Amino acid sequence: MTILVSLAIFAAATSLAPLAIVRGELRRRFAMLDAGVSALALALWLLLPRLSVSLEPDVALAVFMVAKLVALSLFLAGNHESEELAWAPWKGALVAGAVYVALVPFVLRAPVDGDEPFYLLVTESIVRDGDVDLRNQFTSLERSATRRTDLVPQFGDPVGPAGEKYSRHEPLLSFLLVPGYLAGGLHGAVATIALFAALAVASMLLLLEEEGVSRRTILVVFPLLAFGPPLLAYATRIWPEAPAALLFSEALRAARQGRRSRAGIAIVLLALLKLRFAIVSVALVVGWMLLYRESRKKALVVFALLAIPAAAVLALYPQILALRMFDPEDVFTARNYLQGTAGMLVDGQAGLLFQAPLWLLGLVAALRWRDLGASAKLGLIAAAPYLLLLFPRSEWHGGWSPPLRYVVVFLPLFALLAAHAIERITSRGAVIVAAIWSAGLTIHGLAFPTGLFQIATGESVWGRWISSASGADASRLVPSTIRPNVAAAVAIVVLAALVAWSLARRSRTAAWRPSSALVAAVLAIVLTTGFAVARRPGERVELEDAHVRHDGGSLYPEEWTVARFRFRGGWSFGEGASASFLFAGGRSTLWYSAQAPATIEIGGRRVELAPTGASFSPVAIDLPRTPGRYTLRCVKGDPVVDRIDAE
Amino acid sequence: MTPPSETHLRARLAATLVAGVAAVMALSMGLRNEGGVDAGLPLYAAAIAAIAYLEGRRFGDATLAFAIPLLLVWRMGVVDEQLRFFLYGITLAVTAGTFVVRSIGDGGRLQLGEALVLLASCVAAMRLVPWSAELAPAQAVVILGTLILALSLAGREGIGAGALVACLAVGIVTPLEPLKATLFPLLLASVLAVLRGPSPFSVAAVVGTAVLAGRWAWPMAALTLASGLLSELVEPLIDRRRRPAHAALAAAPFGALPLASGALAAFAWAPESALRLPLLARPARITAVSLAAAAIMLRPALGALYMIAALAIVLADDFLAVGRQGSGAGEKPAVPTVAIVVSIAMLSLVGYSGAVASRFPLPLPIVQVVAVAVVALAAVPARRFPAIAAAASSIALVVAVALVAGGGPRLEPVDTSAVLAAGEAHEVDVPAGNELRVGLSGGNLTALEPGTPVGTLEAIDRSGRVVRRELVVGDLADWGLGRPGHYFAARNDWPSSTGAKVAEYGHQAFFGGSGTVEISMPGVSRLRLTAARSLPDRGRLHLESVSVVRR
Repeated sequence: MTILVSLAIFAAATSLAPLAIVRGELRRRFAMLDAGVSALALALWLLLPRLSVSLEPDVALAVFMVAKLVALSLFLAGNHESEELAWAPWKGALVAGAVYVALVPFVLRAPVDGDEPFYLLVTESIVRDGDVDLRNQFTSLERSATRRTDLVPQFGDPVGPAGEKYSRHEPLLSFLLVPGYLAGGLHGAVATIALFAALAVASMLLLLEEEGVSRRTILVVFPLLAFGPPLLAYATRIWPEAPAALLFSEALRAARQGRRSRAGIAIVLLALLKLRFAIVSVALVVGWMLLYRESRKKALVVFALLAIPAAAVLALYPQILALRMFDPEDVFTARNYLQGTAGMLVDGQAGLLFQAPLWLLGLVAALRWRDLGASAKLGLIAAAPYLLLLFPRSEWHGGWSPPLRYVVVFLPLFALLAAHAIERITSRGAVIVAAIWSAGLTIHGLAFPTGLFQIATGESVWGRWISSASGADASRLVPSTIRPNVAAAVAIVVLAALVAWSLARRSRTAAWRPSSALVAAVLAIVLTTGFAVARRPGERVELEDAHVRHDGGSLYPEEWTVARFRFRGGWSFGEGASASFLFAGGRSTLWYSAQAPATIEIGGRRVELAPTGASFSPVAIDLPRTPGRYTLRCVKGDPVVDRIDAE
Repeated sequence: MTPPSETHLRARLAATLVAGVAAVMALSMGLRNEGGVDAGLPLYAAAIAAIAYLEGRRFGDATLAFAIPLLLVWRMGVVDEQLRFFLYGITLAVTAGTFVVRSIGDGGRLQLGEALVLLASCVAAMRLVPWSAELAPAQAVVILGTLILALSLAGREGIGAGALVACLAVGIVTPLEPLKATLFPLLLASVLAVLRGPSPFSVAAVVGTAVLAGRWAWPMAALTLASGLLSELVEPLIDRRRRPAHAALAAAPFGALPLASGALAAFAWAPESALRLPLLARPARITAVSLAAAAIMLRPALGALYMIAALAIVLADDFLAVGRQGSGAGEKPAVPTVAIVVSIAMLSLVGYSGAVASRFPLPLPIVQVVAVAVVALAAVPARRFPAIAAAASSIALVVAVALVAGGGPRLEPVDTSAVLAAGEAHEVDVPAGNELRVGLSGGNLTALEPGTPVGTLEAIDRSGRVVRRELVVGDLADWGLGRPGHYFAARNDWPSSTGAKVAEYGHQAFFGGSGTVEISMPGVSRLRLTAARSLPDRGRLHLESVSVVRR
């Protein structure tokens, strides 16, 4: 029934809302296109059972949703010059908002996760108790709209002097959810976030217009911005990221227009929304003063006036200042910076290259500082300190959340840069590849909402998918800086080379721009070559990876271990458990840990493993020099095996 | 530095696309042992490359080339073989559909060369997998005939959307067995030539092709020639004022409920054609109507071919009343929305093209085909009421999904099966229930007409009471009804209710003629199936499954 309701609401939203953007002959053509897409989708769905193709209803619905959004996007972009296209940013936001609201029941098939339920618990406490003390909320979870009866206080939640239990999350978002919660419980709260996301889309589209971006480019960016990652994931989840993007965009717009009060409000609210955004707020003020010198003194006055109530709020609710201190290992080292920066760019699970490729293309524009508009420059200045603090942290990738969590706030900046890149730098083929990939990401996110939450093992969804399908270790070919591999280094080098080549071009002329056919052919060759390489036995096998066929045993540490990425992962074997995998063979090193003596068999060799306590130690194994499938079997004990490396 | 010439740019484009196809071939060769439709992957990539080349020539950039690496993604990442075949087809269909929609939107028509390359690519993809050297000559005749048909439908400005999808349908549906049936595209091309203007050459072409093709083609040739003659005789006698009424009346055979599912299914492919009938010039209108009327009376396989021929005449813009170049004064020919939608869906089934050919337009029960047509037809009021059209299509979609997804009851299978000769019977005990669903099919029964008795089904309760149901052709059909080589001569009709799934793949794919029959009796405990004594000597009645229906 939920699927059917979601289908009905979504179909209505995507069929009717766009009519506000078109008129005359375009309206007729849109209606025909819409009917054609619906009919085609129905025909294909009806055919599946006859062909013995089993497709889950929610997957089928996700594909239908994306098909309609793609058709709408192509229709708008293809008619950008038409006089019958009554485009306006608020109309685009109307369409986006209608889609987000339509998605609410669909997304809520999966339980709220990560930080989401805790924001809602605070909302419930505000509504029912008039306070933010969560003690009685935790003891009556069966009454909570979160539908989560397994919630316990999060690590770092402050405790009051009288035993009060507070959430470590700032209460502003929870306050904002009150009206929606009162109107519709969990659905109402999520719909509130959807509303903020739609407003963010409106604000960003206005920002693009005010920066002089052409309508054609805006219509190319709009669907990828509104319906692609990462905004779509956060538009229907209770996180502060979508409201933060709205505030950041409004701050940029207000600064550009010289509207100090409005800018000040946006900046202060941003800091109150989430304390980690405070540094963005400060940087916005600093950047504003640098770029708009004539308003420096007045800006300082306004900022001081607005800071007073903000300070008052902080004084009244000191628990929001329960900052988690940096762990000793999160230090500002070159290695950490390289790992975090490279990861944010190319990591298969958490990087822009795989999770939001269009924004990565836009970053090329950031290197052409002089060509950027004032808003883009201000955005870059505002983002820089935040990113400098983010990259060396061990959870730069966002932790237990949909991808790119910590940079969603900078979507307005990404939109500006991407628009600039599309107009002046990037080839059409690259944009098309990014768009197709984004469509795939959207299908995946809608069809498998829990799949957006991944344990940071170093594998990626793509690597696991191909590995499971083919039995080959495809994950090693997907760049990872969470578990650094050669593919990441290669990706960084290639990216740097492409950026250098892009900067070296004087202008984007037909002679320089690679054709779509060329990009497609190169992509086909890369895929074929990569798949061939992946099918060859590798010289390193991580025992927890998807291509390893396990028979018994379990993941180590457990999947739901808090901050699991801080631990060295592996596979815990019990007596009789085994795992088989493709491996190069020859002289090898096995990394393991064991509390007690253990014995394993691999490749016809029996190996005795000495106790190592909690740490991992290597043991040399002389395997046959025959690449192929090897089986590791535990004969005695309970060792945890991390990986095996061929020399 | 002088800019590269047009020829140089095209050569570069072609070379690049060839490189992409070569990558696909390399992957396929590396996975050679895996068989199935995957063996046709290079052909699908080549078809997409050809379409991308057309796009590059026309619009300057071959963005559709990205469908080639997409094929590789499916090949590498999708484990389910049937889903993979389906995705290949969708990729090809969306590629072709995008090019057609974009080109038609750009200039209203496709250039002749573009249409020929597009048709050759799509028809080859549908027909040449799995590859058979024995069938290659017949396949070549069909493909060549389709291209000649496109030539006959093309005007000076190119070929329109309606004519294009008609050619595609002909190319997909034309049977390979008997060999003479492969002349259907040529026959249709000669019929159209006569309609354009009778000449000794065109008349001779119709007669000669029909003679070569065999008896199944003679009514088509005769009706075409007679329609032309009738038009010449009747034209001066009809009052000009009553012509619109006469034209509207001609839609009757298209709107009447045909008795044969083959013809009805073919009509569901382009129901909006009924709106175009009044716009046609008289000879074309009479020919189309007479062919449609004949389709109703012929056996299903021929009914579909005749109806497609009738619709091809209706959909071609060149037969509209005013001139041969296009629309009548003030009238814009409607783009055949349903036909385009269903054609794209057909192309999506490239991995099961044989099944499409025998169950044109889509291998679905007629109710579901009509449901798809209704959703697409919701676009008809878009000219004046676009909001209503958009809302109507959404409502129709949701209703259709709700009705289908409402699903069926739970079935409790009974372990039994039997093959019965004439007069034989089989009994089986069943768990207590009120309703049974029985799967049945026939063997060596293709020659039986619809409605011919084939057996009796009896439900018996513990007290001995009996509920009897007669079984006829129409409740079930010969198991191999849809098998290529059997369907053309078969007289059976597709069962009204069936759960049959596709067998084989590519142009050899087919649906069996299994049907499901339900019989209700409170407290049923035993089922008896008896084959009719009138069954042919070699005829058999197959009991495939028995299930107790739990609602």
